[in-house]
Amino acid sequence: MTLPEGQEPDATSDPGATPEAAAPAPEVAAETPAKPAAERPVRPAKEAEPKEAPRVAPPAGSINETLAAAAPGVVFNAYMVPEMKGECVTVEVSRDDLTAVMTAARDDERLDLKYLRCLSGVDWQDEGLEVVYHLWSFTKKHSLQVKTRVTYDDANVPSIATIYPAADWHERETRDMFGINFEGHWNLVPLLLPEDMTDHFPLRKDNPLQEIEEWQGENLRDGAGEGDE
Amino acid sequence: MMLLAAPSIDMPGWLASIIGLVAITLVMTVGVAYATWYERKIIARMQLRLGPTRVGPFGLLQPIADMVKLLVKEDLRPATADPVAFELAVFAIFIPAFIAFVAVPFTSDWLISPLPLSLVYLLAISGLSFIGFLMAGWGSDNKYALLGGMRAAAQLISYEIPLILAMIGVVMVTASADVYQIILFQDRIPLIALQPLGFLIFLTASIAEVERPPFDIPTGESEVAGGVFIEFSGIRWSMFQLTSYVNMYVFALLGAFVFLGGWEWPFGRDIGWGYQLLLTVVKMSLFIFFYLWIRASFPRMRVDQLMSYAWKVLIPFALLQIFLNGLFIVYDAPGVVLAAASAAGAAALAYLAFRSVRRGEPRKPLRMVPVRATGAPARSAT
Amino acid sequence: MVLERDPALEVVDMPINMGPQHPSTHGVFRMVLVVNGEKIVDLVPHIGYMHRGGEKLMEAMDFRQGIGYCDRTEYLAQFSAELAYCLAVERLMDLQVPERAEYIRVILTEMNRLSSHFMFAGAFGVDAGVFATSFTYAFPQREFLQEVFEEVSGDRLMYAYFRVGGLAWEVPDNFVQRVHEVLVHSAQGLKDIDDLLTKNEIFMARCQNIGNFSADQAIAYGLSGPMLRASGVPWDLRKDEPYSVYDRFNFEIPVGNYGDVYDRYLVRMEEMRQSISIIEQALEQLPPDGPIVPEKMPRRLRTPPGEVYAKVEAPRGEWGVYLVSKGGDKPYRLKMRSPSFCNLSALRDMTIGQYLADAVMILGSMDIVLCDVDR
Repeated sequence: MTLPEGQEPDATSDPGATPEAAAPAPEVAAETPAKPAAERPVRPAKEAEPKEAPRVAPPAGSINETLAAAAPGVVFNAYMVPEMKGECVTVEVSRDDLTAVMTAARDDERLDLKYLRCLSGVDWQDEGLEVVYHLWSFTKKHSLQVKTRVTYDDANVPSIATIYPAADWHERETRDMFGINFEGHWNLVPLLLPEDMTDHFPLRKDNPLQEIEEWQGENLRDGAGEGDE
Repeated sequence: MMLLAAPSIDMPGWLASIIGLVAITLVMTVGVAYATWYERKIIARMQLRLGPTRVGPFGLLQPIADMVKLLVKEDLRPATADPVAFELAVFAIFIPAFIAFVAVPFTSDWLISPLPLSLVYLLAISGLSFIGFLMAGWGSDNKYALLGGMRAAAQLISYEIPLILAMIGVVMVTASADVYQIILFQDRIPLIALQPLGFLIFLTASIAEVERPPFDIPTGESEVAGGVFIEFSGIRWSMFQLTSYVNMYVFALLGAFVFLGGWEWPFGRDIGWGYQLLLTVVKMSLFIFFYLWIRASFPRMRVDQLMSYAWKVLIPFALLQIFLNGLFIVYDAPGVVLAAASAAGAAALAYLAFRSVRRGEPRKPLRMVPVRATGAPARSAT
Repeated sequence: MVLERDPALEVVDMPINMGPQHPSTHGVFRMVLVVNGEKIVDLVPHIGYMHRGGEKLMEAMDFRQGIGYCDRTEYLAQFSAELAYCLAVERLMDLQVPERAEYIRVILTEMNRLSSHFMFAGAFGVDAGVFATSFTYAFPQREFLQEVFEEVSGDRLMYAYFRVGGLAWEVPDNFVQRVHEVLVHSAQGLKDIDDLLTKNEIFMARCQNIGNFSADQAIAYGLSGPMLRASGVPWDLRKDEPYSVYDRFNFEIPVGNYGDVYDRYLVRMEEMRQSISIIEQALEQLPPDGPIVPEKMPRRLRTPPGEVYAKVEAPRGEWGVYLVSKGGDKPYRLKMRSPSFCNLSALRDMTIGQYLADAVMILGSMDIVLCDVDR
């Protein structure tokens, strides 16, 4: 049961260590000889690393062109993230066009995206709240990722639960967690949270679980807190 | 009481009856307590387990431990329960079960009350208990109990009819409605050979009358939440459980006497009360083992399936059995002909039950979609 | 003579609460049924009793700690959850998992599918009313499988054995032989349960034509796994979007015709047989030695910024991980797409119009894991 080369025992499971710490972790004395400090490669400063994934335009003939043909008049921004390794084209639409896009996605025969795989919210803090829809077609075997972004003050997104019944509970959950109001949903009561908890949105970034955990990890070192809130 | 086998004891009839009643009550109480032990051990073995092993040797003191526990439990009463219905429900179920033993001849001499219509008496008494279920269901002020009570009443009433019709068939053949005489009739051949169809109907209807699985929908209400007995605790609940086993004993004894020949077949009456009692117990145990075996093996039937089975399957076949018996009597045919006709009816019933419980046309089997390997294996098979 | 209903009597449908504590709700789940006599008129499911804020917790756990939480979310198909999580991170980091690790992952995941389906078979028989006989047939089989899991990972239920890049440590030396022994037991246990339930007339009557769901409905409601396949859609992620080394095995996918409870049961039984076949093929193809993590394994698991949606075919359906990363060693957003959650949302439309006793059968046939529904 030897540890694979290069992994420290247990030092990385310390929640108190922030990712921004520049100190390199000590190396396990494996087969590599210790290098003198002057020869260690200089790490680039953390701030220089890109925070956004690079985006490329989808190749010609991709599904976004079919979508443009199926939903005329809708302006959207299509891209692919190369890290996603065979993942699909992502399409950003404004929330006013969302219903048209979703209806076209489901009903147009060239798209035939009848399966809503996943619906999640993401909190981008300064850039607003985002709702991500993953669609799939069993007949055409292609997928589409639709994103729409709203601001904190105006967190209203039209509900697609009448178009895709699978979205029913996903939308309720996203409302519980992020506070996004899905207009047109017939039963937007809390699903996972208690029935009376309608004004507190746990998954938004201003509920600081990570900071609490880091504080606990640093300040409660005698084994009291190990990551539970 | 006929206690002809004890000539040295000379006692007035009423004293003998009282002694007999007390003896039966004690024996039956212990007997049903140990029926729970018997059931737990046997079902456990069918389920790859051992059953009670810790309390006493082989777990034999387990029923006593259960009794003690139930006796000291708090007797909860819902505040909104109907007081009369709630209190008396237990007795309404419990008393008829024990009264039935008055007419049961354990051996040729041990019979508390010789009734010329003892079969009618037994069936009538066992049919009284459904009132207790209704009282328990309504009086508990609980929706689960209410549903359970309604289902219990419907089930018990529905399955009374095939039970009684099967017994009518027996009465026609033996020309007597007295259990004692029916046993005496079977000195050469048990009635199961002459009335296999009636036997099957009796068997199924008796399981439904005692509310054992697969007919335990009233007590498996909302699937294992207790049904009618949901608000009863402690000693009251244990009375319900014991009544269920006492009923089981009553029907097992009835089946042993009426269809398997009781203590008369195959050795006749002169073997002494010891062997007669042994025969009775053995035949009764066969029935009880069968009830337990069925419990461990079958899922529960749904209410509408249960009802349709009683009304659409069992009753027509019971009427068929009566019809065959009538032909046999009118044309004075030999017993073999009746046996063969009834056996054919029994086979038809078994087949029809097989088909009626399943619905619809034969199902298409699953489609198997093959997946073929496209990548190269890391290592081919040696 | 026609009986006139007394206008003073009001006939209402009766609401019944199958509360959070109930022997048949497979966990802490509450259904409020409105029944008219015996027929169900409306059903309102209430979930969230086991919500522990899993997705928020995952944002504070780095990519090794998160594996333990995946176990606790899907506690009957733990290796599937761990596998999805590891696949997501590996795709973002562009790591190539060595073949031996992939094969061992597949073997363990399929054994986990066996143990999860045994649990289903046992519990489903109890829901039908068999007096726990199917349960006591199924659980020894789970014990045999759990013994192997304990020898491999040290834990009986929360394995946390997969790591990003491969496995935590090497399997014991007698692993292949132990798995062969366990497969013999599993095949026998499967046959026992099959003999008890599958052709039992009462069981068939309780299961057939209950909870029918057509293929279009199943797709619209986002069902996945055996529920989707029982409705007639021949979709299995191991076949259609293969991950890990699933493209190297020959097996078959059972697809039902009617979409009722009985078809779901049959599909799961057949999947168990196919799992046994896959494990045997994997054991033959398993490289006898080799690394279990890539050589260039980074010291600290840091993902580049990006997003990925990784999915596996868990025993209950499609267990997906939508991972958004902004760099760093913790996820920025991690959404666990749980199949039990999506399947359970269809409960209402599947159950309306059926009898009260069927509600329990339909819920049992969905085979949900409440921790996964609530995360």
